[in-house]
Amino acid sequence: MTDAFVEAWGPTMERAFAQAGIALFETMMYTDKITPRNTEDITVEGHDEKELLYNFLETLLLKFEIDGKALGRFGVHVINQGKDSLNLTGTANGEPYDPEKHGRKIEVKGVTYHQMAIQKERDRVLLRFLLDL
Amino acid sequence: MRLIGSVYSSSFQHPIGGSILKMTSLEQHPGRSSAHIPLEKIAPNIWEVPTSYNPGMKVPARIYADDDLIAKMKTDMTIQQCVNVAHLDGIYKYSITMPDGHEGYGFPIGGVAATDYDEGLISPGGVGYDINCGVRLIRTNLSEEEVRPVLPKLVDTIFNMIPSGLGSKGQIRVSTSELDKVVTDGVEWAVDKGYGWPDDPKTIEEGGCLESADPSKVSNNAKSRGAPQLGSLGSGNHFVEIEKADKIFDKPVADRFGITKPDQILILIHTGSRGYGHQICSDYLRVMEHAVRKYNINLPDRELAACPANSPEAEQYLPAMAAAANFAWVNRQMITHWARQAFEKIFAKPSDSMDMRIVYDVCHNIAKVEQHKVDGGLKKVFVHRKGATRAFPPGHPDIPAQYRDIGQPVLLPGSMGTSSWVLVGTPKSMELSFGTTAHGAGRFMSRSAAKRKWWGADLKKSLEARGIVIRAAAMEVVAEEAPDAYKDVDRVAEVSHQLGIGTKVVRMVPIGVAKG
Repeated sequence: MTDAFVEAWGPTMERAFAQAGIALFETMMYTDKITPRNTEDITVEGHDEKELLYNFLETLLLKFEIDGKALGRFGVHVINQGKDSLNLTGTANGEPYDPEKHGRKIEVKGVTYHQMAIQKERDRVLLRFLLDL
Repeated sequence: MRLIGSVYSSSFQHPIGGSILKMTSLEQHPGRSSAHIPLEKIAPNIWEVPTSYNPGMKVPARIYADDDLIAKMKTDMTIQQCVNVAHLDGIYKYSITMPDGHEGYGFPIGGVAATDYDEGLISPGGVGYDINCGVRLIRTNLSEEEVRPVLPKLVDTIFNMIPSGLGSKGQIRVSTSELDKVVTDGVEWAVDKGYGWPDDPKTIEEGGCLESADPSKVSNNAKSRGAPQLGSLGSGNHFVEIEKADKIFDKPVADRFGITKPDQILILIHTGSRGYGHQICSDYLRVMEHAVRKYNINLPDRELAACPANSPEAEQYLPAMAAAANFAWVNRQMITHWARQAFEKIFAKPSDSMDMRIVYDVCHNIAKVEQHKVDGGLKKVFVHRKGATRAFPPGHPDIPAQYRDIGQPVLLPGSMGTSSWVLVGTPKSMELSFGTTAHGAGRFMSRSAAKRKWWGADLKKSLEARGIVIRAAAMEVVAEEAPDAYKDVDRVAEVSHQLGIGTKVVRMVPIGVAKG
């Protein structure tokens, strides 16, 4: 199977999500080459945590695929329980994708629920997910 | 759960607390295997898991493989996934996994399932993210001797003319409204615009157009992703290869396919529906997630997410899937056009004088409405083929007229530096596999493992030492697509041949590779 299995974690759910965003872009390019020149607002909903993660990653993937953005730094400010769904607000920083500058790795076809796990441990939140390549 | 596999990407230190990101891969994941599942070898190359294994199984799970291929499948979830597919409502005969089968998303790659047209389930996971990922073979009347002296220039020209790699965009720009026409008309659209010859659609599966396509069932996100990517190769295992016929196994059939002599030069194109199909799959997996709850469908794995064939969800997914299939055919058509132009440029003569006809074009990620014999009667079914190729026998009405008396051409791409195959469909495939055989080499090693083992530039040198010219947008991809990372395609072709579900016609070997 052509895939990337990703583990991302951070001290909080928000920080773990931010790491997941980096993982997504690192699969496609060298994120350390991205200059955080512009800021994008990110708002996502999901009926549970897994769907929120799926939708968050897909939103970021579409920022690359449709808008041509290379994003390397993510601030997930808050994830809270809304009336019917979980809501996420945050920002993503980057610049227009330039293959010369950011490199070319592999295209991500889509985010999947395959083997997706969200584990809240004593001192960290661990996210696992698979990207279809 | 223990992680093996080294850090794929770099480590990231977060300013507060510090967090690290690792990538590994599914096949490398410990504690996940199919070794515990009872497998019965019922005939040479035929293995079965009986329905008694799990009360939810509607039919047996059947795997076509030799001893080595089945041993590899036991090390991951392939066989378990084949068993899971056997749970689908309305499935006929058996859930099938092909010799190149490996672990996938819900369905195994190499998975085949025929479900009842009225009462079965439809599963986008049984089609895959890259809807109508497929292969096209173009012939030429050139010999290796004529091409060899200009090979580096030829591969450069192809590489430069056909956009490839991450974020690759087509040479042309279509608006989203024009894109709707593209996916409604299929390859005819491309031919009308000058990207091909009037005869081209005749030797493409379905004539390069599924009539059921309906762009109104496709999201704006999919259209926005797809529009700029029409006429591009993408990355990963997609490529344009210059092949030479290496060995002809079935001379009469090969002659009819226009492959008449060893060392004849051929062109193999492997790509799919790009972001358009990927997004349609993603959008409809979300729809199916809800459908599973709505219709109270009992599935052993939520990734099989499916809906009843007669539901509104299926009525939306199928025309969207067909639109993506047509996108993919147009995509391969435009790449064909540029490949012909590249040959024209290098050889300074028109492509028709080089007899650059399409031998055939197959899709290996698709669901099709077909008629198949089940228990003596003819049933209308949806055949899901995910990483599996249709292999219809002589006489089948869906085969192009010019091949109808000999059977459908089947194309099995290998990997860089290894052979690829032309097979032909047989009556046996109707009996054993709903008119289906394998789709290629199948991945044997994870991408990250391949990258640890080889380094792109070394690999390029070793291929070039063997006379294979390669141009790639990313050297990392070259390492990930290392030939040893794939199951031996010759072995896969051999199993298909021995079973008789697709018999050997021509083995090809690459001499030039352009990839993303």
